[in-house]
Amino acid sequence: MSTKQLFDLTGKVALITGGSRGLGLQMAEALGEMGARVAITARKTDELKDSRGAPQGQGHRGDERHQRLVEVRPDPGMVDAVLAKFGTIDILVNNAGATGARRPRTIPTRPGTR
Amino acid sequence: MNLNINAMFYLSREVGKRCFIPQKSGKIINIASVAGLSGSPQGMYTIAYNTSKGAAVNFTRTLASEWGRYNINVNAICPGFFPSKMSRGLLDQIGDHIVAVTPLARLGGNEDLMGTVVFLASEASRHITGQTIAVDGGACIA
Repeated sequence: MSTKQLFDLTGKVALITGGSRGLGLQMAEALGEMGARVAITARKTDELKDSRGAPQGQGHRGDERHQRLVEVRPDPGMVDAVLAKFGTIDILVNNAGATGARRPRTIPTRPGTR
Repeated sequence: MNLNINAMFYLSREVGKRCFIPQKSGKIINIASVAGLSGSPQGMYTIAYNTSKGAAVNFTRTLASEWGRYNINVNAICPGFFPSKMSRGLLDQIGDHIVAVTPLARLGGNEDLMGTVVFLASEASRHITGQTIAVDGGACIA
């Protein structure tokens, strides 16, 4: 296998959480450009729609689906949707994340859902 | 914590169980953070975030050691400071300081994760698992 082939992602399926903006969108576009079929998830459907208008590589963005990842129950529906569209998943990018500044003494004993 | 580490576990398990283990191949790339490699700079109060990202780093190592037998690579990327909606408030406050203490004297840009994610997603990294790559302009080693 040539070095170029080692980096080629043609035919691979990638699922990226939080892929509608920021670092997730950057990574989605990179994997798409290298040939992967890319599914992204986001908590906000309007941002999924916006990301469709973003510049894309030679690959194409695939199934985009509203998904509240903050609900941590394992949700087979999200994976079902990707499998229905692409048949399998080869690459999983666990990107979705959140931050918040709070001093330790002000954090409640039962923190919120983030 | 729920999103940054619990969701990472649940989704990795789901995709591993349904796709990667049956097909005996797969690539998992966890986006942690340089905040998962140390405490926080003065003026930054993100103990929950740092805790969750530290968990993501060791989750990566442990899952890599357990799922290596299925030919599944599990690696982590630790981005430094990239301007984004999530980091905006913090960068407004301490962005200048971050650049000043970063060896490459810059924040992350909108192409700076591309090479790393393609590398870890591809066959080029087939013999690498359980590793953490900081993409931070050198900030975490300075």
